[in-house]
Amino acid sequence: MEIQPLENLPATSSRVRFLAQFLKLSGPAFIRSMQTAGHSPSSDNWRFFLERLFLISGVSLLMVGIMSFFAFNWAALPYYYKLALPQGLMLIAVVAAALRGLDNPVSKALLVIAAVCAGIGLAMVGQTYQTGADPYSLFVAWALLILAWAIAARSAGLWLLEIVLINLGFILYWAQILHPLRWDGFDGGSPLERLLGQLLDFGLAQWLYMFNIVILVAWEVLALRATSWMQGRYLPRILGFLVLGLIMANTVSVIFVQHSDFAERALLLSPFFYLLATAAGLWFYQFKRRDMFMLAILAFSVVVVISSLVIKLFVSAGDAFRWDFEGFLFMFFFIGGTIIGQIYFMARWLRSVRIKWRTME
Amino acid sequence: MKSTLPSINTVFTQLQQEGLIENGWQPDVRSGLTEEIEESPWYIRSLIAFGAWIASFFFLGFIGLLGWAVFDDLLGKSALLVFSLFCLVSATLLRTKKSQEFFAQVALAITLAGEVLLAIGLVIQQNYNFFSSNQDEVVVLLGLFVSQGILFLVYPDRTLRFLAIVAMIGETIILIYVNHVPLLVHGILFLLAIVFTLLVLAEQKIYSTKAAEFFNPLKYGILIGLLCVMLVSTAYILPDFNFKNMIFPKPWISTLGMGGVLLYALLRITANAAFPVRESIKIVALVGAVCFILLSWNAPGLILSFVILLLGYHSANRIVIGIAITFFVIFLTAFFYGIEVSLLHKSYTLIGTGSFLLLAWYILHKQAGSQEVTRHA
Repeated sequence: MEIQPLENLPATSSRVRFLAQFLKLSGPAFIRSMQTAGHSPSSDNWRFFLERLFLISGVSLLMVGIMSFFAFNWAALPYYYKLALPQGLMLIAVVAAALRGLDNPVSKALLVIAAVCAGIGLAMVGQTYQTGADPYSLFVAWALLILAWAIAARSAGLWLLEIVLINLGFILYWAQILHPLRWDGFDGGSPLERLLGQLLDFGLAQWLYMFNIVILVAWEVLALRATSWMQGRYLPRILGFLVLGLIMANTVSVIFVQHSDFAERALLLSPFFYLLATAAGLWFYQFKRRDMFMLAILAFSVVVVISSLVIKLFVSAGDAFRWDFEGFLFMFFFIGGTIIGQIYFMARWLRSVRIKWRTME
Repeated sequence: MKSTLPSINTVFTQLQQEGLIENGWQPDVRSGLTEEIEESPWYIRSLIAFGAWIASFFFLGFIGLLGWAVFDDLLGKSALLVFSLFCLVSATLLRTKKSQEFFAQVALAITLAGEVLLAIGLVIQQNYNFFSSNQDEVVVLLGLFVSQGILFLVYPDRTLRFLAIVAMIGETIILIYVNHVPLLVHGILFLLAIVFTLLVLAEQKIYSTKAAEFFNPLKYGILIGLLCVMLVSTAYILPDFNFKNMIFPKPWISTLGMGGVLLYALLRITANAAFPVRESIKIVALVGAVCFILLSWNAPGLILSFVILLLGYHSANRIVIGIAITFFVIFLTAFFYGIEVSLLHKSYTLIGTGSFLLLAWYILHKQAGSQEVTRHA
């Protein structure tokens, strides 16, 4: 295999660490190599890191703390405090962010605080006045309220919150307005259990993946146009993981479950969408926006779908032929072997793509 | 750390000039880089391990039925036990002799299936007494613990070594619960956290030794096991069984343990020659850490995420930093949903700790600003 000239290969921390292990470098040599490569943090690096750490973790803890405080619904606290506190905090955060200008991490953190306080404020209004409105409207109103901040702040974190809220609003709208009978089935569990239970509704999953795939495509297209604040990969990866999980679950459900009712029959389109999305994803993340993580989860989803097909074939054949001991032996061996074979080809293919990228670096 | 990195050539030329490596290092570095290119990133290795785990269920069916059929008449109730050991030994030999990816995955799947067969075999060996008394569980868990310990030493595969460490930690925790000594969970957490800290801090000494190949699986296995055990402190699962006090009896013991590890890590990091800090700042940092520990009294996971973040940054390890951030988010969510403390008390803990961290940020920020002004003046 051809390695690039050593002058062209950047000394990333993982590469230096690997070479240190491979060459069995002595302690002083390893420390010096990390220092020369700039991976031993200096005082300034530490200060910058600690500033970020304290700011982000402080804001996160404060937000969850405020949410816990209002979720406790303290009876002794007068209702006007319950209404004024989150809204006052929101106002202070927004004014402070506006005064500082939006192009710095502190202002973005302040807007996240404001966005969370907006939601708490809405929840407090609902709790105090008992308007009888359906809970989905809380999330929809919350998403609408913070939309302008998400646009202005140009922060992936705020957009992630916005996307989560829209998804929650839609899930609750589906469960409470469109299909209330299905929602009733989850009455006993905690909110988290009820939410996860809803995701087993494949009709809902179908709408969710369609919505999120549109967001993902829009994000990637804008990121390709060198929109600087969209270059981070965590938001598209979270979205990609969600979309692929939903569309793959639907496809596997089509393979294993007989869908008879009319609404469920629309699910039969899922394998088609899955093929389309997977082919497009494999092309896009290989040639347009190199992302090994996305390629890996796409390739693994192919393994899952093909393995499901093989298992289904064997189960159907087993029903038809009433297998004996040898038949079961063969089935277990063949399915296990098929999975290992696919994983092997997946790993080889991903490795070849990685090597190709490396030689093109 | 720098945004534009020097090249590998620059780094190794520097080492050569300082006499830390000998001349003629280029061929060795090149062959090292050829190996490095073959290395899969952690998420691909995780997917491969997951695939092998799924395949192992089917191999389990295959070799289980086969083993039963072949050995049952011959060995009676020891059939599965013997056959599982046969699987483990042959998979280890296959992995040792054949390094190609395909054989590596087949061997991994057979080993995982062999481990499950071993567990079943041990249960059957106990006169079919499926978990009827403590004794059965202890024998089964100890058997698995020992087999995984041996596999960790002899099976030349990072994925399996990592899984073996995680499984051994899981078995230890189950052993603690079945023997009704749940308080020991705090001791295990402390032990894991301190071993992880020592491993990270001793990284530079390990690469030149024969133990280097065990280092990463051990480090990451302990880290993941440690985080899983710490999540138990939120004890949200199974509220109906009222397990909260049984599973994690006194969170403050772990807070003290994690606090001790945080202070130790801080002292070791600030003692580093490459990180020049004045004595007064060291004292302020330690006092700040003590306040943070006291404020996080019911939430030891917060302290643990800070320990891991600091160690990850200290060793310039992005995977460790990523794991720490992910754990911070998961712990916070689980803590919010947890049942062992009232929402009001949680809000005190979280608002107090959050405000304290923001105060620390503000002081650091102001101090940095004044230093900048002094420099310009």
